Amino acid sequence: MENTILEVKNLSIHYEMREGTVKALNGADLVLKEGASHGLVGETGAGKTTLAKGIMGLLPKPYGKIKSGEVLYEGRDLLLMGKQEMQKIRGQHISMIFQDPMTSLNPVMTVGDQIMEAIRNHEKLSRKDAAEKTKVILELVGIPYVRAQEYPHQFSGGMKQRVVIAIALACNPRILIADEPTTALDVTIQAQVLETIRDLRDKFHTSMLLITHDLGVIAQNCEYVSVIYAGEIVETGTVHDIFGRKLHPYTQGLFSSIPNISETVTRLVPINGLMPDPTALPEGCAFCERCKYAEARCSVEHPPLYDMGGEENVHRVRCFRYEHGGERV
Amino acid sequence: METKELLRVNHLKKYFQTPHGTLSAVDDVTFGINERETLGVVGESGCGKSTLGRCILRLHEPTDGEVIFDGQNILKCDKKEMKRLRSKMQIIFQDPYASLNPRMTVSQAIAAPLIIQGVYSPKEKDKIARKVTEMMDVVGLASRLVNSYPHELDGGRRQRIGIARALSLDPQFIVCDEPVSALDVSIQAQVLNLMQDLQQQMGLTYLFITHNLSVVKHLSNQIVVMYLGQLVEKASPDQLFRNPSHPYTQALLSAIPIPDPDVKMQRTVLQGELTSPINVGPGCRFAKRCIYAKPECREMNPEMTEIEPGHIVACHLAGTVNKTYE
Amino acid sequence: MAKLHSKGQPVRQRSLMQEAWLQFKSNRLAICGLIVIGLLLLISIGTTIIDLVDGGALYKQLVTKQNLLEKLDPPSATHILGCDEYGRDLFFRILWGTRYSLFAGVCTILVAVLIGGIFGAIAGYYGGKIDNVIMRVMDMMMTVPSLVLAMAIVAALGSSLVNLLIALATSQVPQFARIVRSSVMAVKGSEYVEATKAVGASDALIIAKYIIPNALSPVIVQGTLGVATTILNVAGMSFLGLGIQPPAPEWGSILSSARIYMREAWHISVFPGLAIVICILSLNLLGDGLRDALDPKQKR
Repeated sequence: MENTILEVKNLSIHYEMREGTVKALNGADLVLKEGASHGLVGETGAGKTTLAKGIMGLLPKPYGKIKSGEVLYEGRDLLLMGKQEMQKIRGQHISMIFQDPMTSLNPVMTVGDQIMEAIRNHEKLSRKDAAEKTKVILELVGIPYVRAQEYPHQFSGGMKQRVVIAIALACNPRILIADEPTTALDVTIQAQVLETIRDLRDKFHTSMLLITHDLGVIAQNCEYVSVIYAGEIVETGTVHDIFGRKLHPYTQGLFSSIPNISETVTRLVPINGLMPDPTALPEGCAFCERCKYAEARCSVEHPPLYDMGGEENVHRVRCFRYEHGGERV
Repeated sequence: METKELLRVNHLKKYFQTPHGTLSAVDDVTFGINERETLGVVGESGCGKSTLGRCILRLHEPTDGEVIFDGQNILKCDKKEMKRLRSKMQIIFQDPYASLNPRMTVSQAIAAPLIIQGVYSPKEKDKIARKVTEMMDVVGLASRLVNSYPHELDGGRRQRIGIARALSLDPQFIVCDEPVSALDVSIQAQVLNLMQDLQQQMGLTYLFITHNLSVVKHLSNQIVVMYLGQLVEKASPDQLFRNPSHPYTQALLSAIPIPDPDVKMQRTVLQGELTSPINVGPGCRFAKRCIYAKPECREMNPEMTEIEPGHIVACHLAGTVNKTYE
Repeated sequence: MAKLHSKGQPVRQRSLMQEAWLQFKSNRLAICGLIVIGLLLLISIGTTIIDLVDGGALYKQLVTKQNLLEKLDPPSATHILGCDEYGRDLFFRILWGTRYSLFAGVCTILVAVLIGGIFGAIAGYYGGKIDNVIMRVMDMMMTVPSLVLAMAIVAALGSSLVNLLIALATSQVPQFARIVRSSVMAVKGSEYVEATKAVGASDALIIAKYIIPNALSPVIVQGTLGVATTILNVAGMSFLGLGIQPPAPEWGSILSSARIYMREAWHISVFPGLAIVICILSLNLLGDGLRDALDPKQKR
């Protein structure tokens, strides 16, 4: 059994705007095991990106406020760290890849220089050694070194995303947070990029938090999964726990909403309704309005996470239906 | 039941002049769609699938070819005839935000086609209001939203307005250009179901453009796969997924991540990337990325060959590189 | 079929204009700007009416009549802002001077918007060669600093109020042409225009109902800011002696004649200067407020 490398405990993040407080994240828990790949799945506005930014200490100022919780990296709380310490952690220990490769690269710097800068920010290397390392990294992500002198606009979307990955991995971070790394790419390119990430992870034994809304990407790339809804983790477990048991009604809804390549379904079963307004979350279960199993209690009482055992004894569900099947956490 | 062909596209071409040369966005595309059926068009970004949809509606003027709608070549129609035909052919766009005028309320957006086509004069407010309410009901929009502006609504509702607008003229044929790609999965299913219901109720024919193979499989009666402006394969969903015969289709299918951790995919990861179809030379456009490419592939553009009834492939090696998927 | 219902979202029955006003109202600085500009407009209309009613008697009495005994008097109870080098009351001169600045600013911008708008719309809608020709001419006009261009025109046509306005309007045309062109191009390429074409709408209808309304708000915003620039330019031209001629109490010309008395009588330079600053600042605040309010996509 692997060790925990990053643990998010009861993290709540609110955005305080003039129009009201957006409760983006409400007591989220997450455990990332060393060397493992953990998928975070949810829809737009569920709080996926907020969670990632919260871990990285990159919340938009001055709106983003951390209301409670801790982010433990090797036993130390990242939220309590000073600015300089955190800068060291970012890049060297934890790196992030953003969704849009077009906007996460500096358009006026060559690709090679950008990678080199990332290296030299964290390691004291001579220009020559840094250039050597840049070469190695570029080739690792499948870009010939001759292209290092080119600018981002000369690269296609998939190639840009590889550059972004190269920058993220420049300092051999122990954790990689990938926020929808392939959403903007075509399927064949997505396959290439995911394969690159997989190879590199194998090689460096990097842990990964993979944020996506694509259940297929999760199934093929992750060992653990957390399902996030309205700023809360509603179900978490190993990939087999989630894909095999699908306990939470929202998880079930997600699966019945997507047309499946390998089965023929004449009609999809969508989840009715919409995600609750994050400025006015319901008192009880956030999903109760859309849930076909909802009872009177669900709209007034907030369900805790119930331990459901599972493959590695990590399967947990936030739903009253499992009150008697599992143990309250 | 006898099926009738509603739309036929013959040798349709659309070339754009760019500073770097001629871009053949749609190059010699031929297919037909039966009435009350759905033809799925799949391909990656830049393969010309959106241009194809717009050329069929003459939103782009095609360079050459024929678009025969209900027995009439619409590319030969004059302005007046075209305006009349437009009420029968509609389009639903990908981005439900960009496709609605930010200054028009829901009711104005749905009523606009009716007024433009002269179904009602702007003075017949009661009739228009009744029709708008009816359309909103059809697409499942609560009538209290009638005076809302698009920016006040979420993506799923905006897309419903787009659908209501397209349906208000009672069309026979609708080009759906990635109508659910911008929506979240749970909303996506709602909209897909709605589109299926409407097809049955109103006898609609769809040209469904998407990059999402699972969606296209779910909805279509026939699928065409496009690569750099050309059709590379046309088949029924069953044929296509059971027996993908073009190397590009095979690569495309194997690239879809399957939402089942126990199915480990045997991938043919496609190397290289889509180039832009500027100044294409002779030969198969896929040859550069094709693992089976032979010298002849680089010299001659392959013909369409029928390898089983209704299953057409444009590949020199058609039938020999068959590989069963799964 | 699944009906979508969500609670806590009231049905908005307000029009876009009402929405914009609500948005605008919440911006305190912009409201200040609006109030000041409203006040200045009232003053200029008021003074004009007075002149029309009494045939300029009060104007002569208060604004242009020289009284050398009170020459350069500092602010006092009888002359709250003091007197200028000819003993004229500075308060009344500034008051009466308001209309020159505002009138010149507003007229210039209206002319510039009209001409620039037409050229910009043609360039944006038809594109291609026409676009190229129009925009290159505009570019050439833009290479000359607006004040220099205006000076050249005034020098060629002679200095009068009308010539000044023509000169300043000409220098503002290119920027409105650019704004209109880019918004026309953005709207023209949008999917909702395409959707309207798909239901068979004519070009005229698309221009009238889609392109103009959507291009309007950036023009209004830029127009407000343009008025400010023009007022500055008028003051600048008058300061240089090329604009409105004395004894007309234009702010810039008061300032210009005050500069030799800077040491003896600070008030002659400070108060007209302050008037210009307040006016410009208010217009800019108003413009910024309008920009935020007129964007329909801005969510409240």
